[in-house]
Formats: sequence, structure tokens, C-alpha cells
Amino acid sequence: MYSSLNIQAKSEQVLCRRSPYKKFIAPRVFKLVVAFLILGFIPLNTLANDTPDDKTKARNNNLDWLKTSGFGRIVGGYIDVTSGNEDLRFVDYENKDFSFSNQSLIGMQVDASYSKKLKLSAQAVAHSNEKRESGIEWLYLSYKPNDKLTTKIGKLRLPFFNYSDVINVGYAYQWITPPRQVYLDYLFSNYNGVNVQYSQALEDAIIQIEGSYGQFDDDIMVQGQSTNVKVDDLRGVVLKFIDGAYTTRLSYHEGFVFDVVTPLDTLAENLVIAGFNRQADVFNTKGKVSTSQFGIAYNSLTYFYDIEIISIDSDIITISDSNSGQITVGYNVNDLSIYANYAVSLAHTDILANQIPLGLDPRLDQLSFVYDQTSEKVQNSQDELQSYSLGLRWDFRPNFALKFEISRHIGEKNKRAFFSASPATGDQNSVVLYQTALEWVF
Amino acid sequence: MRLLYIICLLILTCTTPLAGVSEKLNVVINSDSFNKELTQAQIRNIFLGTPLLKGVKPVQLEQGHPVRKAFNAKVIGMTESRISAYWAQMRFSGTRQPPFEAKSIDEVLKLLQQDQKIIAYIPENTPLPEGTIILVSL
Repeated sequence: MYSSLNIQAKSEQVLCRRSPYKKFIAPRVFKLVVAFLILGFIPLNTLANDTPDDKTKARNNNLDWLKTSGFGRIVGGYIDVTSGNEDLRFVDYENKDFSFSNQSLIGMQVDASYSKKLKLSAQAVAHSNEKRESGIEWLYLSYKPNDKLTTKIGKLRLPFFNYSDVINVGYAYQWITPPRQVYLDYLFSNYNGVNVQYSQALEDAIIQIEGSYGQFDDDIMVQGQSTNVKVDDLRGVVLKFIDGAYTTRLSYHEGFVFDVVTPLDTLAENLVIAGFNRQADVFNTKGKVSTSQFGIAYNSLTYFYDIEIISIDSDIITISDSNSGQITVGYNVNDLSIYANYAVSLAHTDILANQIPLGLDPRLDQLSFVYDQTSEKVQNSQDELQSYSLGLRWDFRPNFALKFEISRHIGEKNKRAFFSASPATGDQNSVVLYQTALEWVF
Repeated sequence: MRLLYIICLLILTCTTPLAGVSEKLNVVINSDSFNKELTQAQIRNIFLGTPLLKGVKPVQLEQGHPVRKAFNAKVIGMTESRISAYWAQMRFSGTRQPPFEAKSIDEVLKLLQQDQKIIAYIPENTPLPEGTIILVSL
């Protein structure tokens, strides 16, 4: 039974939320939103021909209570496997197989203001990739009693890192694919709860504090099976200090995974029955997971950089402890910006040595075998990866950007390293990823 | 590789990031109650959506307007694309909305006359509407 454990793909499986209707719904939603956008451009163009006075009136009249906006991205690319298994995939790209369907998406946002202080917002996203769940990303009521304070309640996104809450809005960031080492898929960003933001001016600088609290309860893929996972006491705080061109950001988030059933639970239970409690604790699938981040960004007319260092501390076996970081440095020339990125992740999982005696009982022998096999798979499934990227962004017209990116990704030997499969023993996976993207907002 | 080098060289030599920066600007508001002095950094923060003066609403010119380019270069200190990316993050994370975009200087002047809480930037040689005061000359 234990031999069926598939820890290799745990991160992708745990992280990719999907509903049983996803395959049916996603393409339909995507087509509908595309059709809506095409129709939506007609009145926008008509409005653009109005006189400034007409447009001012139109924008200032009572219809302002309802605002629609949106974003989209068409991303195409392919990987060239330079070492390791040629059948592996990275960011869902296959070797030498150009695809537009992995990261393309379209999103719509509607803001309905009840008053100047009270607003209802909804944001829906349709992904072209069937592995990503399409549907409502945000649905919340916000209350803004004054210019400094905003509170939100409803379905929100957790602002783990600099761009976690706008990860679908490619126009908002420089890269085509945000560094995998920092922007981890398995950190489910949706939650149901509250968020409070407060901004305070300090002479020339600004300080912002943001707090989140809530819970997560949804189906995610665990060991290849759709499993309901519940995370309670999901909480976090973000501290941001903006001083001119510099933005410094500190964040901490944690949650308690308390209801998930995986095949690893059975292994843990059998270890407890056999009296190996310490070993059983290693395969714990319930407990606290926390993330910490330090980030600093600089933006000027000519140069920019963006540095993020994160740490994951996990009590559960399906997520490794890890330290990761990314640095992006760029140069602006009018509507063009050229950038280089380096990202790295180091993972660590404590696995106790196998102390199950052999030759005493066939059941213990089998338990020992499964323990060794599972331990090896856990170690091999760690995501240790180095990435080097070079990219170009061209904002060729207002609200549209064209991007090109070449990146080399080198996995650690014997580690899965964000690829779809672990390499053979003693080998390492590495790929070169070529991508282009059209990003827009409206 | 040689092609990449040539492209980079062309980009660096054929463009200038400071186009329009020499234009003189006034940051103005139509209210005597906001006659405090503001630093350039504070003006920047206001136009990036930070609540610095209670109830004050910044108005900017639409993308591509040469006066807006000059303001971005002198005050915001970022390229248009970086500013647009910033506002995309603010809008779609529900943090704040970008300032109202006027199509022309004339529209800015009309808005200044209509609403006492509007703060805007106009070219230095633009006649000021009645009641409008200059907060900063840039």
C-alpha cells in the first residue's frame, strides 16, 4: 500500500487547487471573458472620440458608483531540457513544445460603491491552463472610514510577498514568470477573512501596516487525490516603509493545517502503533506553516532593483523548510526596460534515521522498507533550484506591454527542484526557458 | 550574441529617459486652506495615492501628455511604465485607485475651478484660475 505513495509531485499536487468541474468550466469561462472583452472595446473606443467635456461629464456622473476594469496576459514559450529527464516539465512547459496555454489568463474586476466609504468588489479570473482553477479570486466588502484606514472582509488574497496579491496581473511586475523560488504555487493565496490596512505619512516618508486574519477550506490535490484541506488561524502582518525611491517590506504569515488526510497519515499511524513515535512525528501532515519575508525595492528613472528574501518554516512533511531569494536589477530607457534576475532556493527536511529493527517481524520489515522509501522520496522531492533570467519589457502603448524573457533553471542534484519529476540518482535537471508575453490592463 | 549587443547599443544610444524634463511646472490647488509648504517628496506621495492632505484629490494628465512626462521625471522619478505597473498593483489588490486623468490642461483648469480639493500640475506659463494658489514650482 505504501509503495503507492507519490511524494514526488507533492508540491504541485498540494498547491494546485481544482474543482471536479474545472475541465469543463475553464475553457468556457475563458471564451466568454474573451468575447466580453472584444465587445467591451467597442464602447471604449467610442468614448475615446468624445470631447474632453463629454468625457469628463461621463466620468463624473452618477454612474461612477459602478466601475469595471480588467487585465489579461497571453504568454507563450517552451523549454529546452539541457540535462536530466527529457520528458520533464517546468511551469507546465514540455521539452521543445511551444505553448500559449500554460500561463495565459484574463481577469475582470467590478467595484460597486454604496457610498464613498463602503464598496463591494469582485474579481474573476479565467485561466487557459486547465490545471489552474478559474473563478472568483476576490469577493469582498471594503470599508474606508478615512483616507488612512481600509478594512476588507470576504474572500481575499494573502499578501505573502511583494506581488502575491497580484500574481495574476502580469502587467504589474517585470518578469513573465515570477521567480518560482519565492512565488511558490502551494501557498494558496485565497482565504476567507478580514484585512486591515493603515497608512501614515512621516514627513517625506510613508509607513503602511497591513494585517490579515482568516481561514482556508477548499479542495486541493494531495498525493494525486482531491482532498479537502482546512487551515485555521491564518494570520499575517505586513510592514512597508516607503521613502522616495526606496520601499522596504517585512512580512510574516502563518497558518495551522488541521484537517487533511493523506497516505502519509497511515504511515505515521503505523509507526505510532509500532512504538516509533519520534519517527511518526516526522511524517506529520498537520501543523503550523509560516512564511517570513524581507524585501527592498528601488525605482528611479533609469535604474531599478527588487530584492526579496523569504523563509518557510513548516511543521508538516509535505512542505519543506526552505530559504529562498531573488534579486532583479533593471535599466529603463523610456518605454523599454531591460532586467536580469537571479533566484535561488535551499530546502531542508529533518528525517530521522531508520531505527526499526529488521528480522523480528515481517510487518516491521515492511514498515522499515516503506520508511526508507518514503524518506528518500521526501528528500528527492525538495525544491532546490537556481535560476538566471534576462528579460525585456516594452510598454509600446498605454496599458499594454510586450515582454521577452530567457531563463536558465538548474536544479540541485537528486532534487525535484520545481520540475515535474525528480532526476535519476546522481543526476540533475536543468532547462532553458524561452518566453514571450503580451500583458495589458483596462 | 552580436545581434543582441547591437540591439542593446541602439536602445542605449537612440533614446533618452529625460525627454521633456526641462519644462517648468507649478503644482496648484484651489483652496486657501492648503497653503502649507510641501516638499517634492510629499507631492510625489500625494500623486502615488498616499493620504497626506485630508480629502485632497490629485488630478493628473493622461498618459503620453508631455506635461505629465515632465512631472513624472521631476517628481515621481519613475518611468511611465513603472508608474502604470504600480497602479495596476494598487488597483487589482484593492489598495487604492489611480488619480483621475484629465485629457488636457483646459480640463485640469476646469476641474480646479469646480472642486476646491483638487491638486494638479500645470505648465509654469499657464494663467491660474481665480482662487488657485501655487504650492510648489518645479
